[in-house]
Amino acid sequence: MPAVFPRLWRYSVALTGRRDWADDLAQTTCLRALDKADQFEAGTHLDRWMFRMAQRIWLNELRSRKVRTGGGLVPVEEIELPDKKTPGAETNILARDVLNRVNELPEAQRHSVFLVYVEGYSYKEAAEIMEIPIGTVMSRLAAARKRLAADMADSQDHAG
Amino acid sequence: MTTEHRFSDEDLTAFLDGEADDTLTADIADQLERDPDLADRLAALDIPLVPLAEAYNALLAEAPPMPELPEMTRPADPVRRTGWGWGVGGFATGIAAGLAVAAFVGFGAPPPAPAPSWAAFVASYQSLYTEATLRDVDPTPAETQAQLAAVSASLGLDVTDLPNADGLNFKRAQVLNFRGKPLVQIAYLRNDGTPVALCIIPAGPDEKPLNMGQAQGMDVARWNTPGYGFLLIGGADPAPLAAEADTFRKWSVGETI
Repeated sequence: MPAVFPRLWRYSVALTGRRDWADDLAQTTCLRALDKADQFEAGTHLDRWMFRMAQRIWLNELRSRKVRTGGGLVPVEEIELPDKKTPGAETNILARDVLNRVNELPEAQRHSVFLVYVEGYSYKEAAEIMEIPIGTVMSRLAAARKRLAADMADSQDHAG
Repeated sequence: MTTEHRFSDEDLTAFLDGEADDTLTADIADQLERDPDLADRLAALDIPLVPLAEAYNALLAEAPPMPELPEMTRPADPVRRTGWGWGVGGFATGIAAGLAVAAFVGFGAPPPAPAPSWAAFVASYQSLYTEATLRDVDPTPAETQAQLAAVSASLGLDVTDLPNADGLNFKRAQVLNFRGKPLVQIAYLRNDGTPVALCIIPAGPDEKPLNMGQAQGMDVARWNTPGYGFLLIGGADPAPLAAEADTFRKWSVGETI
């Protein structure tokens, strides 16, 4: 579990859009995982099992908070990256920009983008984690790609 | 004459992601050669994936350390029924169920596959520990003695003279309490940073010899004295664990170490 924890926390950031909420969600997920440890099938993937659990907890939390999802109604924060003085400073600016744009996506799109493009899960695996049909994963990714590409083209136009 | 096909954004996305099947991939690649509009549509779906992954990878390094469980926040404080809601309650229930199974299977029995759920559960608990969890925990000798005295009182077994096993550094002793049964957990950090825990619970009158096994990818050593079950868990190298377990076992049966 310690090996999975940083990724679980990062997924929690992607789910909630906020670091402070990610802290709570990741911790709650660990507790739930301990509680359900006897249900974990040895030989299956601990990361996917915990990600699915985090996803369920977060959706329940949203329901109980009566926060409507998907319409940008969940407050998201600018996610600051560690300020690394590396030669790739320009890359870092681009990375920060992309990260914040992804964070502004509707939740459902953001989750799909994270699982497929950051974690590298296949459509099928991402669908299983999010407990949705593969077709839905595809349509979310297509919508996210379209919006991100348009946003970035816009900003380049303005910059240029 | 060619048949222009109108691909959906989903089709094009699957193509870009390498998730399109062979037919779709061939169709798109074929049409791309003669359809500039299709190239434009693909470009309109192109996003900088590498910076995206880099950004999130940078975030990975920012992850906080694995949090301690609520019960772990107060060393040697018996029966903490805190207001942590379902988390602690559910956890306690899980342990209780595990103990019930352990009582049936017999603590210290040869490790069957799968492992008895009690050992599996303690293992899950232990797997939360990292070097970072315990690295900065550095009790003074007086604090160590106070914690050991407190867990001794809960357990009804004097562990204040617990020996130092070679290579293990004492970090914390605490009591978890389940259905009135104290489960003592004494946490150590091995010199190489491996978290190791000695767990002791009241058990039946039968002695059981030292028995090595595995749970959650960690090595486990178990034995029973009349009245108590012992479990030492941690790391993936049975050799040091066996030596450490032998030290504690000899102490537990009053042998000279």
